[in-house]
Amino acid sequence: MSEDQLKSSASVASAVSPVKPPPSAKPSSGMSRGQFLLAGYGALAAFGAVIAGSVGRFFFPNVIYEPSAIFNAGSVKDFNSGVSLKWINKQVWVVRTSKGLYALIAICRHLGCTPNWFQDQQLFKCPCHGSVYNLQGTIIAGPAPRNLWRPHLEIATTGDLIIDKSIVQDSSPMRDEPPFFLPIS
Amino acid sequence: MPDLEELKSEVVNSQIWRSIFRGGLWSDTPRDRANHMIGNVWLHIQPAKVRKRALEWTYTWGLGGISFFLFLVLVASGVLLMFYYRPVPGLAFRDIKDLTYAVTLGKFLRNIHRWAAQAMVLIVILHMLRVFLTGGYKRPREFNWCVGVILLTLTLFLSFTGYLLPWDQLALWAVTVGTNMAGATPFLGNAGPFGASLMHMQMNNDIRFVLLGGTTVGANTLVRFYVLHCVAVPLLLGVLIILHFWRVRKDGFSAAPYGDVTEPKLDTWPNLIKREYIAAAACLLVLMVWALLVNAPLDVIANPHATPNPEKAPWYFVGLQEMLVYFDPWIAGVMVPNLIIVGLMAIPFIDPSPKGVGRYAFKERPFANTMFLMGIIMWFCFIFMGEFCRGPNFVWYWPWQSWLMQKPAPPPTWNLFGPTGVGKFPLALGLPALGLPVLAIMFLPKLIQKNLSLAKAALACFAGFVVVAFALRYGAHVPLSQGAWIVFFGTFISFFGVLIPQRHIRGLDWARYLVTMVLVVCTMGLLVKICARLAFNIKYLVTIPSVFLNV
Repeated sequence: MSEDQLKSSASVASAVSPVKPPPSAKPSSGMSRGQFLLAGYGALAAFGAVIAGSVGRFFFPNVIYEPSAIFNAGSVKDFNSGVSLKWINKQVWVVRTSKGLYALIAICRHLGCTPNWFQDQQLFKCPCHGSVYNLQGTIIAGPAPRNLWRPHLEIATTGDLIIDKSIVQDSSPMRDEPPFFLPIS
Repeated sequence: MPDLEELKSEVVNSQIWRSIFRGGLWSDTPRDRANHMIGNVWLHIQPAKVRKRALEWTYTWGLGGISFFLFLVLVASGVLLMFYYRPVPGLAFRDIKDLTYAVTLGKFLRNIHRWAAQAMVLIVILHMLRVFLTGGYKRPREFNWCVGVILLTLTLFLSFTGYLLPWDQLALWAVTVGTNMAGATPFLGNAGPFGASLMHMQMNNDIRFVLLGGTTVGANTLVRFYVLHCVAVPLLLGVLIILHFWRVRKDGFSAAPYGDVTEPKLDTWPNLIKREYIAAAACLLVLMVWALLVNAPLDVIANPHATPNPEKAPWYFVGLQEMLVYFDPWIAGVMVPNLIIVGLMAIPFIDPSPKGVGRYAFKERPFANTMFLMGIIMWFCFIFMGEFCRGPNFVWYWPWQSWLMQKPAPPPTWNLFGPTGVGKFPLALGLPALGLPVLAIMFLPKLIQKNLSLAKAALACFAGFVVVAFALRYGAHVPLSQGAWIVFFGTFISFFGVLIPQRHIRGLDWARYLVTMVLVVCTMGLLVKICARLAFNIKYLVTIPSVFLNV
C-alpha cells in the first residue's frame, strides 16, 4: 500500500470512529502514526546495524594458527662479522658489526616483500618497488616510508640468541640500544 | 517416413513443445519475431525492436556484449575448475599442477579461464572508453555509468582474488603487496596515517587482518580469497550486471538520442541477435585458439621467504605498481585508486553538456574527450613503464637493455621540504611553495575570462620553461638534461592543467568547475612527483613525519 493510500485509509478510519482523538489534540495519549513509523524504522535500522556489526566482527578470527614470533637463533658465537642469511626462513637477518650484534626483519617496510642482500654493494634491495636499505636497515632510496624493523634480542643463559619478532624498533637512537642492539665485542 | 518439415511442424505443435515455448507455428511475420523476443525469458531483456544505428559494429564494437559473454565463459570454466581444486596451501598448487598435467581438458580449461579473465579486463576498459566517447553517461544514464564503474572495479577485484588461488610465487607476492596496501589505509590500517596513533590499529585488528584472516598470507587468506572469487564477488557482479542491463533497457540505448523518434527501427530478432551470436562465436574462437596455443603461466610454489626479482603485478595493475614507486602506499595504493573510481563516477555529474550523445563527437566535447583520453593514455604509459622499463630490484632498465647488466647502487634520495629536507620548515616554506602553484592551476583557468589563442599560449609556456631551464643551468648549475624534464613536464602541465580548462570550462558553475579541477590537479600532481623522482631523485616534495604527511 502506498503512502497516500495509507493516509486516506487512516482519515477514513478516524472519520468513522469519532471516539479516537486527533493525534495532535492529546500528545500524552500515545504516539502519532508518523512517530510510530519513525520508531519502527529506527528499530529496524538499529537491528540492521547490530546484525551488520556482528557479521563484521565475524570476519576477525579469534584464534589464528601462525608460527611463534620467538625463536632460538643458536649460539651468539656462531655469527661472524657481516650479514647472516642463516635465519632467512624466519624472515630475519642477523648482522654482526665491530660494535655489536643486531637483527633485521626481512620484510620491506613499503609493502612487505622480502628484500635481497647484496654483499658487493652492502645494500638490501627490494624486488617489488625498488626500496634500498643500508646495513643498518636505514631506507636510503626507493619508496619505503620507514626503516627496516629490528627485533628484540636476548641472550639466554646457554649463550643462545633469542629473537622476538613481536617487539620491534625502527628509529634511532632506540634501535641502537639494548634490547634491539647487543654490544658484543 | 514423414518428411522433415512435417516432423518439425508436428514437434513444434505438440503439447510438450507448446508447454515450453509460447506462441504458435513460426511463420516469420514481424509479430512472430516480436513475440519471440517478448516470450522468451532469456531474450526479453532486449527490446523487440532496435534502431538501425545501434546495430552498426562501429558504434558499440560489441564491447558490452563481449564483456558479458566473457563473464559467462569465466563462470562456466571456473565452475569446472572448482571440481578439481582444494583451497589449502600445498594442495592448491598441487591441484593446479594436476589440472595442468593430469586432468583431461584441465590445461585447456585453466588456459581459457586465465585468458578470458585477461581479455575481460581489457574489454571492460574499452567498453568504458566507448561509452565515454559516445556520451553514453549523460542524462538519463548517469546511474548506469556509475553501476558500470562498479562493475569495472569488481572485474579487477575478481582478477585480484583469482590471482592467489594457484598458490605460486606470483600469487603469494601479488597478494602480499595488495593486502599491505590495504594495511596502509588511513585510519583503518596499522601502517596508514592515523591508523596506529589514533585508531589503535595493530597487525591483528585492522582491515588487512580481515582480508588475510591472519597477520600474513596463509591458509585463512586462501580460503577467504577462494570464497570471494568463486561465490561472493561473482554473485554481486551478476546482480549488478542484471541491474546494468535493466537500466540500459529503461534508459534507452544510447545510440537513440532523445527527441529523434523518427528514425526507423528493425526487429531485434534476427538483426541484433544474429550479431550477438557472431560476436560471441568469434570471441569463443579467439579464446579457444589462444588457450590451445598459449599456456597460462604457473610459477614455482609459493615461498614466503623469497620474492622473485623483479616481482611484477599482472599487466592491469602494473601502472599502480609503478605509482607505488613514487608515492607512499596510502596515496598510491589507496587514495589514487579510490579517487579514480570516485572521479569516474563523478563524470556524469560534472559534465552538464547535453551535446554529443549517441555518436563519436570529438569537436562537440573537446574538453571531456581530451582529458579522458589523456587519463587513459597516461595510465597505459604507467603500465608500459612498469612492464617494460623495470628490471631486477625494480630499477629502471630501458626495454633494449639486458637485465644481466649490473646497475650501480642508486644515489640516496633527498627531500625538498621537511625536517630532513633542504627546506627545513615544511609548513612555513613547503606549504606556500607547493600550495601556490596548486591554487594557481586550480583557479587561473576560471579567473582568466578571455579567449586565449591555444597555440600562442602553449608556445609562451614552453618558452617560459625554456628560460627557467637556462636560468637554472647558469644560476644554480642544474644540468640541461634536468632542465629538459622541467620544460617537458612544465609545458605538459600548463597545457592540460591550465590552458585546456581555461579554454573549455571557464564558463562552468563553481561547484562543477572545482570538482573537475580537483581531479585535474591530482592528475597533474602525479606527473610532478614522477618528474621530481626520475629527474631529481627527490623522495618527498614535502614531508611531515609526525602526521604521516609525505607527498
